[in-house]
Order: sequence, then C-alpha cells, then structure tokens
Amino acid sequence: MKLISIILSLFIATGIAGCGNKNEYNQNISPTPSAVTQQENTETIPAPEQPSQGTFSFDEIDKYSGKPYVVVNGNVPFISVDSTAYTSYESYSALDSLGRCGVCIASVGRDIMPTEARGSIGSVKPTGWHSVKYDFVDGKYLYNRCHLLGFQLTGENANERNLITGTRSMNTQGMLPFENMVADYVKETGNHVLLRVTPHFEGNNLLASGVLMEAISVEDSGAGVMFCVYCYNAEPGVAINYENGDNCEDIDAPILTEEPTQQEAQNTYMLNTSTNKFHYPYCHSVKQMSDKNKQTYTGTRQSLINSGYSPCGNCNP
Amino acid sequence: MKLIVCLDEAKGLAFNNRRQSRDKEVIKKINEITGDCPLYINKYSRDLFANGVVGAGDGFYFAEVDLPEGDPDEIYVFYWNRLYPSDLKFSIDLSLYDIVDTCEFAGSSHEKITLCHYRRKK
Repeated sequence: MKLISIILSLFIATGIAGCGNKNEYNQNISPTPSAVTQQENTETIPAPEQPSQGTFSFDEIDKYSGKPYVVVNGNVPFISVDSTAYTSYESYSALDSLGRCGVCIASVGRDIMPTEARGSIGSVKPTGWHSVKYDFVDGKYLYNRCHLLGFQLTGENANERNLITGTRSMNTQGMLPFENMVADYVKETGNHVLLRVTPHFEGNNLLASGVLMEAISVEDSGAGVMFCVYCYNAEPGVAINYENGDNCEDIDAPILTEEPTQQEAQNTYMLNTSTNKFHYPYCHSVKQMSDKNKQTYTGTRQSLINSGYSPCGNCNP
Repeated sequence: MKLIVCLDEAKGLAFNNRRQSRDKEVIKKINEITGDCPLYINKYSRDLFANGVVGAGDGFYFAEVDLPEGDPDEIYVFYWNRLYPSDLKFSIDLSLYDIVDTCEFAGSSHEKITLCHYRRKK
C-alpha cells in the first residue's frame, strides 16, 4: 500500500468540535475499575482505555485478506471526548479538488437521528462510481453509495459530502455492524457517541481503499462503546482498480477467511418436506407446519441447498 | 445452570469486551424468566441488572462478555436479528439441545427480537 500518512490526532476532532481536555475526559468517567479481578468468578473487566494521541499511518494496515474489517490501535480511537460532545452535532468535510469526500465527524444523539425513512440517494455519483453487477455479490451490485456517517445515525440523505463509492461487503459487513452498535446504544441510553469516519484515498485514486471508523461513547467515556477499526473497500472474488473503480472477477482475489460463517457452520434447521423450504427452528412458519411435513435437520446450509431445499424468505436461514 | 445470552446474526456475543447491543424489553423478559430465582452476572452487567448477583451458582447466568465453562442444562437465546461486530462468539453447540419454546417480540430499539428456549437433549 502506497505510503499515505495522515495525522489522526486530536487536531482533526478538535478542529471541528473544540478543544479536547484529557483531565476533563477523566473527570467525566464513571469508570469500570481497571482490571478488576473478582473473587466470585475471577473475570477481568478492562477499564475504558485512554484515547490515543499519537499519529497513525494507513500504511500500517494489513493487506486485505477477506475479512471485512481489522482492529486498529487496539480498538482505541484517536479522538477524545470534550465538552462539545455532550451536545449532538455533525460535520462533513468539503469535497477536495478531485471531488472526493473527507473526514466526517458527529456526536450522535437521539435528537439528530432520523425520524423518517431514507430518501433517494441515486442523484449522487461519488468518485469512482460504477454501476456493475456480479451474481455472487450480495444484492448483485458491487458498489453501493456508502454513507460515511450512517443514515440511521444522522439522517443524512443525498449529501455528497457523506457518500463514497463502497463495495457491498464494506457497506454491509464492514461499516453497518458498527453503525448498528452505535445506533442501539444511543437509542437505549440517550447518551451520545462521538464518531469519526475517515475515508482513505491513496494518492489521486478516486476509489477509497477503505475507511477508518473511530467511536467512543461520551457520557460514560467509552465504557459503553469504543472501537477503532479499518473497513476494507473490497469485495471477495473481485479485483478492483482503485485509481478509477474499474473492476473484474478474479478467482485469485481474497475470499472470506473468517471462522465458518452461518452458511458453512453446522446448524439445526427445520425442513418442510412438502414445500422443500428450510427454516430456523424459531421461524413462525414452523409453528404452522404440518407434523407430517416437519423434519429436524442438523448440518450445513449449503448441503441443504445442494439437496434441493431453499431458504425460507421470512427467517432467511 | 441455566444460561441466558443475546446473539447477533453471526452468533456474536461481544466486541472489544463490550456488549453488542441492549434493549429494555429484553431486560423485562429476563426478569420474567428468572422470577424469584437468583440471576448471576458478570460485574460488567451490573448496569443492566441492579438485582443481579456477581458470580456464579445454581440458577440463571446472564452472559454478555464471557461464557461460563461447561454445558448448561438450559439456554435462553435472545436473537437480535441484526449484525454487529464481534470478537467473542457463542461456542455452544445448539444441535445438542431441543427447542422448548420460541417467541418473537418487538424491542424498544429492535424491530424484532426472537427468544428461543433450549433444553439439553437426554
């Protein structure tokens, strides 16, 4: 990966959000005690880590191996909480001379979360955009218009400063799980989460290589939410030219290397031998199934498909 | 011991020593399930269950950022039906258990949560 070093220190965060104060950060903690070992069950609970104030280089990121994201800096973000983060806000960088997005940051609170369904974003053509399909890609489209700050967090629709060209995998397997975690925490607690998303463009590339996502919950100083991850803008089985977004199928491109997925793992399913559908055991369709057509099966999802069964459209096993 | 866990679509439990999600309706359900029986928890879960007993023993154990050793007699799984990051996965083989009961309900911040009650096969 070509050397592109950026300083992800407090300067970026505080340039938008105000001055950080490490002492204030500590004072606002209702901390989980550091490395508390309990006699009852001897579990160890980590304390909220201090935000790192060092520099970071994208050159340190491991090459894509099929995993949608990788932990950076031990999951300790490079941003820290200051007094401005106790009020919701959102900020988006201006597009650069090539039309590319920059750093986006928000203190996500309930008051800026969307109250209506997402509108159309098709009018935005982010840099590197191609409309291209592959049969093996989830949803078929290789590229999505990918929100840097997720719609469910700040309710931004067709904001060109918040949309990049992102692979389906980065969108749904890389970024979305973290957005879900933030959204749930904010909804359930009423607290804020300071979230910064930095797209990583190498040189003059029009397609981002990935995004750095950093988050820390504000009122509890990271006890609830804290992560620092890099999400790869890549798709298993597809070779991508990041200069312009051109792409092609490539059997040598990395495939998922994580532990067995649901599709590969042994699971228990309920079969309907009449409709040739298979379901999760808890699917409501199972309750409506006639006993004579009901059969329990334990094995892989793929083996069922190979046997002529198809997944239920409701429970999506 | 009866185990209670919350899992995402990838059988994840936690990420970075923190719960993936939470929901007020799940807390209510767990209190209904446990009734007057002791609910054992990890210290991490004290902010959810002020009545929880930190430690382990006969009764229910609510696992968020750890999994107890051994195979529980019964397991209550709350499926979030969403995907979250995870670095701690649920490792118990549920094919060794029968499903006793299932139900679905809306959470306070989750559209649909599925509760499955498993009992170890004899």
